[in-house]
Amino acid sequence: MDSHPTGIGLGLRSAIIAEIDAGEADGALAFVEVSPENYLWRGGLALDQLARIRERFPLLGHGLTMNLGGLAPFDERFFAELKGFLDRNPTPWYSDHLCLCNNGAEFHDLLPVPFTRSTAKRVAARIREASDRLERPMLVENVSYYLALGEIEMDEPEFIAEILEQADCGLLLDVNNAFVNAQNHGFDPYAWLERIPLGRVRQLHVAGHESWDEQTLIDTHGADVRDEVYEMMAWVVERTGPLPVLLERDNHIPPLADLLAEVRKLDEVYQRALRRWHEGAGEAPQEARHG
Amino acid sequence: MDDPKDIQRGEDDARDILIINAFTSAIRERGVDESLKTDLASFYRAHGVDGETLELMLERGPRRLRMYRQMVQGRLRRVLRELLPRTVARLGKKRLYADFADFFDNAGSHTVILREVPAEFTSFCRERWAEAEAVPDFLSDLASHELLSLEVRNSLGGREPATGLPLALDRPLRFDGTCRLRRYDYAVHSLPLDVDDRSEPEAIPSALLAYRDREYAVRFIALTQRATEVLERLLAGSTVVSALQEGAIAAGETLGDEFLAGMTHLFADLSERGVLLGALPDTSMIEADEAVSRADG
Repeated sequence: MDSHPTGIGLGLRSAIIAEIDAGEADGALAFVEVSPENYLWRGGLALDQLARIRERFPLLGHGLTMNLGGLAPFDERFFAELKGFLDRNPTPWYSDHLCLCNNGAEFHDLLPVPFTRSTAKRVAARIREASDRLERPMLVENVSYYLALGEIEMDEPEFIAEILEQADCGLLLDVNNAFVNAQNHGFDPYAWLERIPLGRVRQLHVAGHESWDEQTLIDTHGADVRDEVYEMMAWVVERTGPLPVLLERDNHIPPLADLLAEVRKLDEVYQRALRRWHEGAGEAPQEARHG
Repeated sequence: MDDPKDIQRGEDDARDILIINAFTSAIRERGVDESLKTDLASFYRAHGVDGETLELMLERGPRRLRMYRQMVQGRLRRVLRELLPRTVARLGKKRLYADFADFFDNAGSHTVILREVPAEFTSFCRERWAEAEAVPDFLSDLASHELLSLEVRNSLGGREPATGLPLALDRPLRFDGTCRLRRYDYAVHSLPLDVDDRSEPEAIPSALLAYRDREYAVRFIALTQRATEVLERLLAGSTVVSALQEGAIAAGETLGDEFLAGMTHLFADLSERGVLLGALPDTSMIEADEAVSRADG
């Protein structure tokens, strides 16, 4: 993890890839994040666009389907293809989610896992195995979960910390997921953040969310980032220093110009947080804590 | 003697597995939505969840369990609507929901690549569509045609270099790697692209050669029967002479001047489009040269 970008990046999506390929985001992004599943076993335009884009932006690789929380052995064919992709498109690390994606069939979604010691142990072993197979460091991302499964032996921060420790890996901290979970499960997101081992945070995700119903927020990546999520991102950066921060947008994707305006806004908040980090040598001013 | 820690770990694993299986069944099983709402305890018990875990899950209620079910299934149906738009529009919402529910419960998806789910769904549905009176006979062909477009657009290969060798009767030919030949019972390729269109295709056997051009557009060439028979054999690796001889027989034609003139015109058109890339080199000669080199070495 010696060399990696810091600052604000965007996820490469089909809705904006042509414009990014055409140079319309040049100079505006610190990096682009790529989900290999969109490119595996694929040829044609998207792959050629990616080949050109990787010449102009640092890439970070972020997976959606590794099934780190799953019960079945990893898929050999998938890992071989993924490793080939990452060798051709080098990234300083590879990240995927602390979740279940497959249980007898693919769900194409990020499903929760029980917050138990046995699950933490199993997931940590799978992260180590994934890292060995891919021959690069792994980061894992905290997910939005809408229903806890079974007995909660450990709360989520303890569960995450246990996995990071056992797997000796980094954390891709999604502050929007933490915010959504805090709203849906009724806890203080800053109390949650204070228990996360920030020393292991290597990357941040921020995104917008929507309401499923009156009682539930849902992490759709389909809206602008809310101020509360900006503030949580700043709270983390004040304590960690420079990080790559990804603006995620997967639904209701606006024109690239609007996304870049949101990137600039995010960057302003990020730069202010970095200044506080410099001033405080890593110690955040108290008034910043709750924005 | 078993280590008590190992026994406890095994019990913990089993408890996790039970709740994971129950949870994913709630998302996947056909027809359980109503029972999740009205008799959640029976659903969990039927999946082996009991004791303290059952009490906890009942306290949490069915609302978010059903939300996961709707979220996952809804997302996959949206993928089908997006990638098989005309097929799904003709199926109608009720039939789509029923077919999808059976697919998801009985077969499920076994690819991590989202764009491959429509092919899995179509493969599962073909037999039932053929048997269903309410589903038009051409729907399976229409699905194949929409999948063909998707496959060619995303296929590996393409833009392979020309071999530089002229066509020769005793050689197979190289085609662009994105080339696919498909046969249909209906002329579904002639249907309008408008998803609201409900016109029906002619029931005439049709064949198409699809490929991705240099600007990444998917192109289709409607083939005559003789062209279909010959190209099918060439794409499978036959030599030109075999493809012509066997193709003519399969098409019920004589391998005469008119047939050969037609094929010459076809090969010229395909070469101009960048689809036909020349004769493959004679590998027996290459192997012989390599053998000589090895012997010399």
